Amino acid sequence: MFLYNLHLAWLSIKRTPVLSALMVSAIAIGIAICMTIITVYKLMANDPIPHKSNIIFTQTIDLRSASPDDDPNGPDHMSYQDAQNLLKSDIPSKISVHYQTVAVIKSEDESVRPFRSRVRPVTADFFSLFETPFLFGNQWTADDEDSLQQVVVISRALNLRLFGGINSIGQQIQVAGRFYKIVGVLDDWTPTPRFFELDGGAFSETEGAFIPFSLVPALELRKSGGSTVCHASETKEGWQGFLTDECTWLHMWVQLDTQEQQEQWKEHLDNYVKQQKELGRFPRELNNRLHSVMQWLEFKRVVNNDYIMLLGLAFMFLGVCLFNTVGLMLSQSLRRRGEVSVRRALGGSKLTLFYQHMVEASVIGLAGGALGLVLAQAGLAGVRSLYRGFDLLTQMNWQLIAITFGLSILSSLLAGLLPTWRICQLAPAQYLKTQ
Amino acid sequence: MLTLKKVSKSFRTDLVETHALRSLDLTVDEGEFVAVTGPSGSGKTTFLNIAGLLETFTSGQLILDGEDVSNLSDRQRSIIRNQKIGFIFQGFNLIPDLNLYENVEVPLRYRGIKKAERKERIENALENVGLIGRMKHIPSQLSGGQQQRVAIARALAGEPKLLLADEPTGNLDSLMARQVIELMENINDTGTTIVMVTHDAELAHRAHRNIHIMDGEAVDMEQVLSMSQHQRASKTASA
Ligand SMILES: Nc1ncnc2c1ncn2[C@@H]1O[C@H](COP(=O)(O)OP(=O)(O)OP(=O)(O)O)[C@@H](O)[C@H]1O
Ligand SMILES: [Mg+2]
Repeated sequence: MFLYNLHLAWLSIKRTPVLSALMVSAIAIGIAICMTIITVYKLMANDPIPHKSNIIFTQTIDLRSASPDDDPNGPDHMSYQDAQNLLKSDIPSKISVHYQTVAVIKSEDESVRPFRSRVRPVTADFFSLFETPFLFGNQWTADDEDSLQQVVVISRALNLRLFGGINSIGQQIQVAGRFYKIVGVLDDWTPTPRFFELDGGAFSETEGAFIPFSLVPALELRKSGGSTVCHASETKEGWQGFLTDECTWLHMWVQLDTQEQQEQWKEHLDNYVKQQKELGRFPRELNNRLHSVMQWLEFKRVVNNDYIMLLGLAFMFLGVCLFNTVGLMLSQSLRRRGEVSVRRALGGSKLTLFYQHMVEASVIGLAGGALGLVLAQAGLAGVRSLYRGFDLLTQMNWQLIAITFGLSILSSLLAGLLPTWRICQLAPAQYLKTQ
Repeated sequence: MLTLKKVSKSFRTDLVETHALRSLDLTVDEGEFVAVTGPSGSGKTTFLNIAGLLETFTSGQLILDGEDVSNLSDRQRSIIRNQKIGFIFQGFNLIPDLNLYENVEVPLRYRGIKKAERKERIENALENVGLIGRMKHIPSQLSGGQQQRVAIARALAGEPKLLLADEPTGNLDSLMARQVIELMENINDTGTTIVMVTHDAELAHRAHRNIHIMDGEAVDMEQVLSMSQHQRASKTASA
């Protein structure tokens, strides 16, 4: 019966091509708008590292000066000296301190012109904490880091640019004038949102070169993009001065596997701040906070309220499209009365005919979904071209495609409900006389 | 085969209530070929629709093939329509997008008959009405007489016990009408009970029996004659 109804649906769509096309487009447009916005929303609200997002944390410690400041939240970043001090703790299973800078990269191959690229000084734990995938090689060791080895991990894109994508482990490149030995090449890695470094956009890609954080004092590579806030009234001279200033600029994440570790870490932070107070730092009251990944994304409002409103509007628009479809289906069902009456006379029950027309509505919905998917791709391309840094957000996965078809079939069934119900309620005798 | 006991039907619109049938009593025996006649608006179509379970009625009792079918659900009524009753309408009522084969197939689909048997029945039915060669045509490519023959084939394919025809020849010229009526007589010869509404006195004569309906009641012919005389008399009196 299903295949038969499918055949009948096809015949009926063929009979009124214009009306059918209008219904399909009405659904497609509504679906496309909805799916464009849902796609962006879903990725915005995505858990970027689901299997461990509740055991990795970032912390804020409030080193602001005593001057009255309404914001109850301390700075998002860590100062260099606090990061250095906290790095010594062995409470967390892993600690990553990192920031982003830009430097000129040169290959030994003369044919590759030097170019500016993102460079991230990171602690060795960065790779295992965030579970970066390696295409070749591996991260550097803690020994490399302690002994100030000039080693580098490069992104897949950088490897492609410098070496045409071959295994480049052991090769040398110059970063900001110094030679580094390549120990690892990352595979594609796009945590969305990029929770560990919201500076520079939560939806940007992470590529470039990664070098040991222990080299920072010697390198004088200032942070590029994102915020650096200095909280003392006076600042000291030079790079070494900057590193000991009350300036917050570093990202710091820790992995705390157990509840116990988490408690210990909080206590450690409190003790640390108390101890620093004795040295005349941290003039404010104790204001330390620990945020898990999702807490941090929410705290930083990665999904903002405007966007939630937009989502509501998109669904309202889909509703308007559905009302249109209901109207079109009603007008179509009027000219169907004759056929429905004949079918009733020949033994089709109300239920049988209801089923037949619902199958037809789903076919319309399916077609609307397919067209909507195409339009949504165009919509997403539009979002990409309008807003930089949305590249990662504007890709649909199979799950979103399934949602598209589910939503469009649901829509068309909803739209078809009233017209179908009405046509099945007809007294068949009335429309048999005239045809 | 078919018994109506004091069946009444009234249509209620916003303002007026029309009594289409008033306490109609009527019996059709198995194997009969009955013609139903009567003036326009007397309730013939209404009677046929009620007999064919296409319409409900206000009061009374309807017995079909020995079974009281007065108060059945939509589903049960549909099953009976599908299995026991065939319809032929004045306006043919073929489904325009379906070809002849598919049109005849409709009642068999609803009955859930398997593909091979469907094919056999459809081909037999179309053979019977002489249209087997045009199986793939759609209704609009046929003449009126041919369309009505397809409608008959559609009714026949289900092998109904009761065939209800509402002015089956009303839209046809006399030659076509004769072909159709001959076809129906053949069907009746195989044992199918036929109730046919007609305005055509000649066709009505070919039936075994005539039932005359006036103002929603069955009347016997003698009474009719005297009544029409009486009416004529009263009209001249009032003039
Ligand atoms: N759906 C309806 N709503 C209201 N009144 C109706 C309806 N169907 C029929 N009637 C009325 O019921 C009466 C009987 O109608 P019916 O169609 O049975 O007449 P008929 O004998 O078949 O006439 P004709 O020979 O012209 O076909 C008429 O007065 C008609 O107006
Ligand atoms: Mg009539």
